[in-house]
Amino acid sequence: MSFEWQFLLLILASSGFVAYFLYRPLKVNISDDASNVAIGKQKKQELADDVTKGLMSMSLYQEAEDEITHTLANELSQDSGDSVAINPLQWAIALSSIIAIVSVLTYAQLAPKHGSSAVIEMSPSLSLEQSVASLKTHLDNNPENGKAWSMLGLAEFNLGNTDKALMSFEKAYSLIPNDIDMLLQYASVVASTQEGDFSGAPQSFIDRALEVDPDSVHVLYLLGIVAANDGDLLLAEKSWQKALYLLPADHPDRVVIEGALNTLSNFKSVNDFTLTINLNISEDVLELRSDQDYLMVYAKALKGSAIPIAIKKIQLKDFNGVVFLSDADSLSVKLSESTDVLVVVRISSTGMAMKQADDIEIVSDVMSLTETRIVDLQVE
Amino acid sequence: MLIEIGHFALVLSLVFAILLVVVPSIGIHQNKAVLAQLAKPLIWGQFFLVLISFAVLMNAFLTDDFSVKYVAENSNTQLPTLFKFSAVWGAHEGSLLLWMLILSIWSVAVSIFSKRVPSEVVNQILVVLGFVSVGFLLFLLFTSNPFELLTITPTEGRELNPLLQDVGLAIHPPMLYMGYVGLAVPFAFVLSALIRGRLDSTWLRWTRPWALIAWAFLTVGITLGSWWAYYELGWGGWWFWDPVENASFMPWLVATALIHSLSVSEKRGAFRQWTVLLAIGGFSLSLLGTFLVRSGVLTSVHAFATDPTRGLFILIFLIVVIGGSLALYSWRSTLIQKSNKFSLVSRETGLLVNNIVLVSAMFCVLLGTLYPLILDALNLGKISVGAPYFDAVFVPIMIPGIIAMAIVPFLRWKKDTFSRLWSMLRLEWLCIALVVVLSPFFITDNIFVLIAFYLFAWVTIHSLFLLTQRLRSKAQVTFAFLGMIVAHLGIGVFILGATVTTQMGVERDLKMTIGEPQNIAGYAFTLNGVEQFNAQNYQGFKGSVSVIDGEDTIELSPEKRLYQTGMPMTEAAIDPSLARDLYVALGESLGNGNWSMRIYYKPMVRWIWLGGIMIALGALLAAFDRRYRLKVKS
Repeated sequence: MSFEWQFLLLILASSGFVAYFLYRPLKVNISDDASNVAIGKQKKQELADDVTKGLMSMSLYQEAEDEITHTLANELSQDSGDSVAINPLQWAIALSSIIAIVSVLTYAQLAPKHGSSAVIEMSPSLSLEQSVASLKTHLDNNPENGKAWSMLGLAEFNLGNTDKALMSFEKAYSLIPNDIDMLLQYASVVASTQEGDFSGAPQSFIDRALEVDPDSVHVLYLLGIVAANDGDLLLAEKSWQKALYLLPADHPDRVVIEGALNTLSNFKSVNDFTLTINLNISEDVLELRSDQDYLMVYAKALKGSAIPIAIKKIQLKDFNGVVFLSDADSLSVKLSESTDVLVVVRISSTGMAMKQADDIEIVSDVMSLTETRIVDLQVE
Repeated sequence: MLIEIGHFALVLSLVFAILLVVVPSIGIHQNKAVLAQLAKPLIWGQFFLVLISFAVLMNAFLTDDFSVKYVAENSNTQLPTLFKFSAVWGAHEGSLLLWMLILSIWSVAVSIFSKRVPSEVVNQILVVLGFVSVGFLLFLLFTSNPFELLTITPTEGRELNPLLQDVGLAIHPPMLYMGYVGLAVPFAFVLSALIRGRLDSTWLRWTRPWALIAWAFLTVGITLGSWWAYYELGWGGWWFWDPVENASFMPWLVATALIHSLSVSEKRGAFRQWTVLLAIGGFSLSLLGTFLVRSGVLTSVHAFATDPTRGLFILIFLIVVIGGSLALYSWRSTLIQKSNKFSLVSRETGLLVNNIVLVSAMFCVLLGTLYPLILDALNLGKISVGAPYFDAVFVPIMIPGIIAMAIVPFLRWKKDTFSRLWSMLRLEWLCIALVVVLSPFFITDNIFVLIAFYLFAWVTIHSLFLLTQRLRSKAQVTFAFLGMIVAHLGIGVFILGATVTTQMGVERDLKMTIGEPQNIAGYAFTLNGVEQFNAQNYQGFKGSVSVIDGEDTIELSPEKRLYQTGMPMTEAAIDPSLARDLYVALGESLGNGNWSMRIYYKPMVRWIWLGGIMIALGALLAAFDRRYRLKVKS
């Protein structure tokens, strides 16, 4: 039985219920006067009890009793005469009509406010196919509902009907070009047809969404994903940091964005190009040198310029056994862009670039940075 | 499909409420008894339809029907069944539906349990209740529809606010709403009398039991809220002078004044005009509380402006109800019989003092609640009015009221003398004087605790003496009298509990190391360990704390829960007793087996809620007094 029939049943039951009491009205129990008289008597009895309890002096008892009598006299009135009869049939028809018309009109007025509920016979587990069918029915009657087109596009996409999804989104785009949710969904669907590449139309949709609302957390989040995929980690980080800043402290989506930032951070750390030099300086050497002497560790190209690719200069007192060289230490070309290098370790009292007479220097074997980034060296 | 039925049933209930306002009014006005008598069937029909709506929404929660937006936003499949029930009123839309259901329950109760009240009066009362129902149903359907559907059904819903996943919060709102909405009944009695122009003994007599029952529910609701805040928020506090708490406390103060004023009006024919105003004021404050809580103004006055529909609706309804009622009052006030005479020293004067104190206290709370909102609205900055203001203003106002409360029941109606009072109570006063002199030596030198103890002794000694006096006399001990004694004793118990726990409680925020005992208030607390655990819809840490109390060892297990929303929740472990509570709340891990913990020693804290229960019990006893079973011959 569809819900319209159940509505009708409810209306009929309600009308029948009201009509029943028009034909068999409840009896009038007591009148105002009867009630006031009974209460007046009770008050006099209570007054007498109050005297017994010592809550009223005998001298004032009569005065108080008179007050009760006076109040009752004021309250008594001629109760209205016999009730006027009505025609129950007329009233039953009138009330039933009101119940039916007002309830249906009010429900019809409220129905559009349910989103698309008017077109969806919702059940607890509505399948995607059912959702698509319901949305199509709704769009037959409401072809200008851009949101519904967008939802249809998403549903079609989830069903694997990419072409239909694109058509629905195109329609939605023509109706609600500034709807951020639609723009992001459209961008994602188009990107999926380009093997996940967001360049071109998807990027333009995201840019548009960003124009509409530069502070939209959803746009910033997607922008970050696109940037990360493009390798623009800086933009990705910037976008997600901004999204995080905009979200309230207790917002559940923060967990998602914080997760993305953590992933980014891990990714960056894993991918940082680091050359690790494990250096052992013998006790004999250390005894000969001052702790103010400089330890200069650098990598230089096997051929070509003598200028180190990357260098780190610390004092011996700060040496802890390991030295890391990375792109941050590069002087000319990036360390990560070099292939075969020599690692040079020099202990110098002056710290000058050119080797001095009392400097101690050792040079590693040729290292292929594509194969290994760890070297063990000994200064004796 | 069920959802549509629930929604349509709610629409139909609105139609019934409109008919309830219109049809019996025609019947009353045109003396057509059949139409006037339709009020009762219409309210029954309305109740039944609202019940269908409520059952449908509850079913949607129990069956995880996430096609309903409200269900998807406030429940998920992992939520335990009990909290799926309470999730129905866990947010705005559902709590409004609960409000409506409770209003219908009260209305049906009035229609069924008012057999001794003239039919014409009952019909008019039901018309007024129907008008209130129309307002709330319109609000519910047009601004807060709980049956709104989502176009695409999500596979999983969101989390119910973890704060609400608690038994205390499952029962606190229904109780509070029973009190809030219950105040609509005395309001309807008064408005019905004003509309009919018959401000007679009937409405006065029959308003009081309804006012008492509503007041009892409101007391229970506030008490439950305080108890919940104490154990659930992890701060160990029982009252915060929070605007939401104040919103329920203000109607309670006025309702307290109302039940006392009604007792004078119905017995001695005094204060009738004042009683009318209190009945209007009580319900108006309930609506004001609804406006404050539901409009968003408490978060920020400007939050109201960003989504004004709901707030504006309640504000207009508030203006219509208060403005309409006061207009009706000013029109009909000439019909209200003048007060019977009484002298300066009399029970009437005592109850007048009680009313002045309670209403002044209400205005003090109202000022403290609204002042920050007014400043915010005028862009004069954000301020917070908290405990220091309320403690400084509210408490001194109430002390004379408590002193009067103990003596007034000894005073005679109409006229009395201090000399009679002195001769009757001098022995008791001598006892109290001894207590006052000796207690600093035997109890404590804390002045606040001493004052509370004096008040407790004052109330208790007088109440027990009154009871003894009545038992010795030949006069019958009525339920109303017993109710008064129990409620007054409850006030004394509450005052002592609230003051002792506030003044003598010990609160420590500690870094606890596993195995190292900490001595607090004579108890040795040792953290034995903390283990991680998983529950149905949250993960958490459970601490194991041993407390050595003399020769006994108490094991406590405080929890720190992390719900799916990422919201951490503290589940304090409490060892309760009437003498004291030991309260342990688990904080954060500080590494190396160290944990931050809150440990509270709360002496007599249970007396606060015991007092609340006694007050509510007293009200219920008074409501079922024999005098309200008066037989009236037709």
